[in-house]
Amino acid sequence: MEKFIYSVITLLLILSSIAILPVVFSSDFDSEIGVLVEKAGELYSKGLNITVVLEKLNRAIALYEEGGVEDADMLLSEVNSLIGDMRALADRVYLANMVIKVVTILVLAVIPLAVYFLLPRIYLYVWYKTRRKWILSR
Amino acid sequence: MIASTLGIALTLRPGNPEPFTAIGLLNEDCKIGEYPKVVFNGSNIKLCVYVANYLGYPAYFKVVYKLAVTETLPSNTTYSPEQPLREWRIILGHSEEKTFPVNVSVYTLRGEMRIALVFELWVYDTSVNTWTYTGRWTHLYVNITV
Repeated sequence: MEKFIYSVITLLLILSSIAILPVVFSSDFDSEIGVLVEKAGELYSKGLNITVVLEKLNRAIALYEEGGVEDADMLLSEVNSLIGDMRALADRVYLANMVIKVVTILVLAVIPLAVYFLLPRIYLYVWYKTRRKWILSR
Repeated sequence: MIASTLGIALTLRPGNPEPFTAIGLLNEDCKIGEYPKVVFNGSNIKLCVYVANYLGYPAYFKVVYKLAVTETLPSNTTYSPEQPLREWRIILGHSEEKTFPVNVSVYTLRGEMRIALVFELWVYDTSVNTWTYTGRWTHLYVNITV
C-alpha cells in the first residue's frame, strides 16, 4: 500500500513538472512556419497586405506554446489556404502597382518637356488675350 | 526639372536600403530604466523584451534567454556558448515592432554571483531551414544574493 502511494505521488510530481516545463518547439513546426512566412513575404513584395496572415501565424505559435498542437496545425492549414487565395490576386495587384508607378514616372518625366514647349505658348496666348483690345496709335 | 527629377528618384528608390533588426530590454513595466540590480538566487524576475523588424520583409524571430558571465557574452558575430534556458518565438512584418513581457529565472552560474541575463535575437533562415543568429542581443547584469 505504501509503495502504491509513493508511486502515485512520484507520478503526480513527474506529470506536474512536465506541465510547467515550457513547450519545446519541433524543427518541423519551425520549418512549416518558416515556409509560410517566406510565402507571405513573396505576397508582401508584390504589394499585398499580409497583416492577417502574420496575425494568424503568431496565433498558431501561441497555441503551440500552450500545448494546442492540433489547433495550431489547423490554423497553419488555414493560413496555407489563405496564402493560396491571395496568390491568385498577387499578380494582378503587382501589375496594377507597376502600371501606377510607370504612369507616375512618365508624368514626372513629361513635366519638364511640357513646360519647355507649352509655357512660352501659354504665356504668349495670355499676353495677346489681355492686349487684344489695344489700339495702336501713332 | 529639379522637382521632376526628385519625384522620379523618390518613386524609383529601393524600398529598404538599410535593413536591420533590433532587440531591447525594458523593465517589468515595459519602460526603460529601473532595472533590477540584486536578485535572489533561484527567483524569477519580470522584464519586457522589445523586438523590431526593418529587414524589408516579414521574418520569423526567436528570442533566446541565457545566463552568462562576462567571458561568455555574445558578440555581434557569435552567440553565447551558454545553455539556452527559454525561447520566445514571434513573427514580425516589415517595420513592425513588438514588446512583450517575460518572466525569467535567475541563479548563480558556476559559482559566479554577478551574472548577465542575455537575450539573443535569432531569425529563421528558410534557405537552410535553420535558425541564424542575427548578431543582435541585449543583456543585463545582476548581482545574485542567497
